[in-house]
Amino acid sequence: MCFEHRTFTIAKDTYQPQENQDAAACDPARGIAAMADGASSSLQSGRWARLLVESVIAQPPNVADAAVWNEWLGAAREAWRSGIDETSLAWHQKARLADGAFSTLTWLTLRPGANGALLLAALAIGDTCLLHLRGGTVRRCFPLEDSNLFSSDPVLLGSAPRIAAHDLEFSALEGTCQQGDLLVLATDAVAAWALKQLEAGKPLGLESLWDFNQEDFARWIQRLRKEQQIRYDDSTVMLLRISTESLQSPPDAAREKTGDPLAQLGKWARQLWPAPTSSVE
Amino acid sequence: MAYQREISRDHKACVLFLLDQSFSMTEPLGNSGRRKCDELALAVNRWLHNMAIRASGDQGIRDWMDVGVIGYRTDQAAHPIIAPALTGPLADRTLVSITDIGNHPARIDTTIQQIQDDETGEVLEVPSDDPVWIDPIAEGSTPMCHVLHYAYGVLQPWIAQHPHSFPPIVVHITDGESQDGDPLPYAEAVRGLATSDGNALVLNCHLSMAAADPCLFPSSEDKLSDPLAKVLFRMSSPLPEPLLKGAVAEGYAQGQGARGMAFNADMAVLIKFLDMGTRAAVPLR
Repeated sequence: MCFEHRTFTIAKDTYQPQENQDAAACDPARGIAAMADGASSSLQSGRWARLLVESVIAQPPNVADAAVWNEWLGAAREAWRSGIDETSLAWHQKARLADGAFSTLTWLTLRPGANGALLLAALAIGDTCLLHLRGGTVRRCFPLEDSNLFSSDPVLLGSAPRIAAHDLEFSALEGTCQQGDLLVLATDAVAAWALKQLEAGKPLGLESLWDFNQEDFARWIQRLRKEQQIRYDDSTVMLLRISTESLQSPPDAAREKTGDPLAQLGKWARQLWPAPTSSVE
Repeated sequence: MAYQREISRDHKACVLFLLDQSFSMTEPLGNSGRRKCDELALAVNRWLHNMAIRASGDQGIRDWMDVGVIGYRTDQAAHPIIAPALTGPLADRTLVSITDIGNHPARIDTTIQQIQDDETGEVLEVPSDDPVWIDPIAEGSTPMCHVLHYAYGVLQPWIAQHPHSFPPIVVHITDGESQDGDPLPYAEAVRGLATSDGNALVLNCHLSMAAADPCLFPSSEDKLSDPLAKVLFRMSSPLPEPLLKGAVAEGYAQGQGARGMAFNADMAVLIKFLDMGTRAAVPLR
């Protein structure tokens, strides 16, 4: 296990939690975490977001290999389409079916590096963000670093094959983490709020969320909504506290020989970014 | 800052259409062989159709918005007729949730759309189901003051029930001048209504028989030579930031001071006007 984790979420309409279209999942043993934010303007986008994060956790796709990425995305799209019973849809839902569902997708992987550090690789489509904190200070917010860059129409991953897989552009991040670092995955409302706080020189206090329970989180978001500090939207955060002490992994070479998916990810990550310029170190 | 409230079930939007149903609406709309009243009914039905689809979610249509469609005209004795224009199960209702709109169209007309196949060039005829909520009506004159007074009476209690919502948007569509007095004080009274998020917005669209140059979101009345255009300009709200931003970004407005009005609109301008004028009340994500 290379991190401990907490996940909190609240729906846009608090009394309609089934309409929450955010999704998050992680596998601490394999060092993978993913978050997606389904667009409420599309049909069954919550299920699409869940499918995406579950697919990432099951097998993070190698987006650098067009064939692999096409196959991965095609399988997710097929799973979304096959889960719909058209006969049960109302006219207004049928009208949206052809457009498919849309979602952001951000995921990260951690693998052992030198001197007990962890190598971090993250990929994102859309505005679900990863904040990297060390000692209470935000070192990096990925993929957006300016609250003005959040818009109502971010790039999204569609469940209908209107945009070919190879035309989708990922933002990529590579860096290292240390014992005690906090990684925060957050959907756009929370991420935009966090950046605005930082830009205004105000404290974030994200570390204190670690001791929250779901009710505390819901109260916190509702207060921010009431004060109009945060967008009225589904809001989800996943906190990952880095713990390298219990990390036991074989060296890269051995992992690559065994076809370990994390090692494969590291391999193509190095191909993608031979000289990392977006390091959080 | 005003006009920032995001739309949700807790903070619903409200869009109130005021539709001119006077006899002159039987004239053809500019650049179209169809009557203004037919094109207007088509545009409003399409808007309702699109709004219901946009509010549609996995559990049905989300109750994000109240919509009213009020028609105005006079009868043969010149008495004003100000009445809800929705027909079918929603007839006689002044404000209706978008959930009810989507679930209760008066009927669904099947039309044939001609679509060209991109690969073969062949023209295909594809049946399309078009829900209908309002039908065209055209008789009598244009009691504009009466309908604005009616709108005030509809919106005042809505605001009392939704004091922190995005303020109501009134979309007034006419083809002529008021025939029951100066509408400006009545429009100003409606614009004086306010939620904590800002004053009600009054948007005016003038439909033209002539295929003249349309004018959309003007910033000054100096360039408007027609006296009716000047009146509509003064009746119209300045576009608030969320609407202005979109209108400027798409090249339909010059900048600060742009008013929510269109003059000499044809069908294309009418549809653009409806889309841009109500965009702030539509949840996008």
